[in-house]
Amino acid sequence: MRILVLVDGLHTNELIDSLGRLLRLDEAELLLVYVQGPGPRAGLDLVRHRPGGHPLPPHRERELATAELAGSASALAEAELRAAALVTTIKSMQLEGEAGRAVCDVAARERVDVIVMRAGGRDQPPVGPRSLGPAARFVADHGPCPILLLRGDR
Amino acid sequence: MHSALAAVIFAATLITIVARPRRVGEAWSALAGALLMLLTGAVSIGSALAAIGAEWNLFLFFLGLMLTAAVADMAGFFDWAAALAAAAAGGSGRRLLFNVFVLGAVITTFLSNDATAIILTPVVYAMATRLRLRVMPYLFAVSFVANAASMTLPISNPINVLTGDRLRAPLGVYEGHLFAASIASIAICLGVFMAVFWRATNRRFEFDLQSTLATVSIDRVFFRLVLAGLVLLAVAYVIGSALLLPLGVIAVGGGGGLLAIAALRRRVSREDLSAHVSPTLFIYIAALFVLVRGVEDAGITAALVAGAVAQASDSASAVATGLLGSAVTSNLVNNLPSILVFISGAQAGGVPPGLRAPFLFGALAGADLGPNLTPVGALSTMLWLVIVRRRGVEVSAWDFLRIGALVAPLTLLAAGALIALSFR
Repeated sequence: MRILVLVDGLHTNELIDSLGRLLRLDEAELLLVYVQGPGPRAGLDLVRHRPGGHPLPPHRERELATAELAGSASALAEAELRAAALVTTIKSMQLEGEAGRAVCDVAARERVDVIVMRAGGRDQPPVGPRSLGPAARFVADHGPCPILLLRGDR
Repeated sequence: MHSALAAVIFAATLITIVARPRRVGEAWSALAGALLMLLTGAVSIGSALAAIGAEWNLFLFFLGLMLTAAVADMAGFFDWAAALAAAAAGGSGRRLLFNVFVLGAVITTFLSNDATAIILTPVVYAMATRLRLRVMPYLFAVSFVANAASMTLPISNPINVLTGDRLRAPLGVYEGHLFAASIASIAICLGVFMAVFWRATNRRFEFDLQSTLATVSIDRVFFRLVLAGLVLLAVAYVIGSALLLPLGVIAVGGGGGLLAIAALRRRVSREDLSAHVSPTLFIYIAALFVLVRGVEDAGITAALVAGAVAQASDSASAVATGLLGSAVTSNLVNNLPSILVFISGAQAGGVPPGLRAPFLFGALAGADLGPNLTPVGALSTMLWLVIVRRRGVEVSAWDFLRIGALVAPLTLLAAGALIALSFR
């Protein structure tokens, strides 16, 4: 069974441990995916906006890209370490773009059997139409395979 | 006829600046409006040049700030300061939020709110991303403290220099009216942030100060010289404010001196410099001065301000009128045109002489703190949100607006009360 796990870098242990409790992983192949979304950069653009415009200096642009790569690599490394005790075949992937869309695309391309991800952030209400975060909502609507949405501690 | 024409051009220009049709920059919209004022005869060329020339101190101040911030950035000053903040947090995400707040307040106080918002935010973004913390609380903290701390010194916000030139208030008088309000605003903002993001920042991280500092600046001598230059410049600002010396001259002297150090150390990067020094900002400001002169000559600013302060009978109500009026208009458009209208109206006789100082100190506080309600003015923020949502971006800016709705009224209320008390 090929399992795609969306790693968010904040709840890695919780996510992998839940996965181990809920699914049989003896024969599973794990595809760990981290998506660098455009949200934080959009927030940065908003708070930096001033009349006259101030583009990011080239050295700063490079530094942000390096930091984003380092952050996602570190998140995936942590997930790989945690998952190594449960599965033998692990593959990791760093992607860019809107998380839900990126997950659906890679799930279809890699022919995964199940997608595992968190249902939403801390601010999402536990029930109701807004209980899913934007990424989970998109995957629930457009995912090409069964989806396992996990809720964190509240 | 001229009055109506000036009012229409002024209003249409402000709407265009805010709406940014076809993503036209604010400076070009303002320039088009200023040219229309000239072409229609609403402002004579002599009057326009006089309006721009009278503000030489502000232009120099902006230039000095940009040069200073550019060299400080080239030397790795902001990265160094952020690294110290991260190290002092001892691995606690909550303490890091506190430290980022304090760092933002210090940089705003001595290098202005623009340096904090424009340069410190990407540094903090990179730091939080590397440490795998939630980015938004730290990013928003920098943005909010840039406004909350921007009353602390006359150089903490270019708007303060503009208003200070009219008030001719030495540092002692300035701080007598605004220091308590500034500290209260910073404290309220910090309290709200710690409460709102208490859970979101509950995360540990590992940070190695030595290895981070090793990558901050490859030229230690340059870094130390720039650090010493910044300290000297901060002292010069304080002395200059106390003696009512033109702060623009001090800023350009300091910025030019730092640039000379960078040139001598062969550290000047044309690309980095052009990212920091924005010529279009000068076009924007100059055009705004012409636009405001147009409505001022037509008697509109005096009438507007006189109408607003008509009910003000004492200094407390004058503070409240200035504060609320400039806070609201700063959010509708932008705080620079907003404060220009208030200053122009007060100067043109719209405010009785006895109430002028409380009115302008109140307006200054409103223009400094008001933008915390919306980051780039309410309408611009809404348009920005619509655009990024269309692109399918998960926007946390609603969080930003929610926090603003809490922080802005509380800080404005506290600042207004404290400024009013200072006039008793």
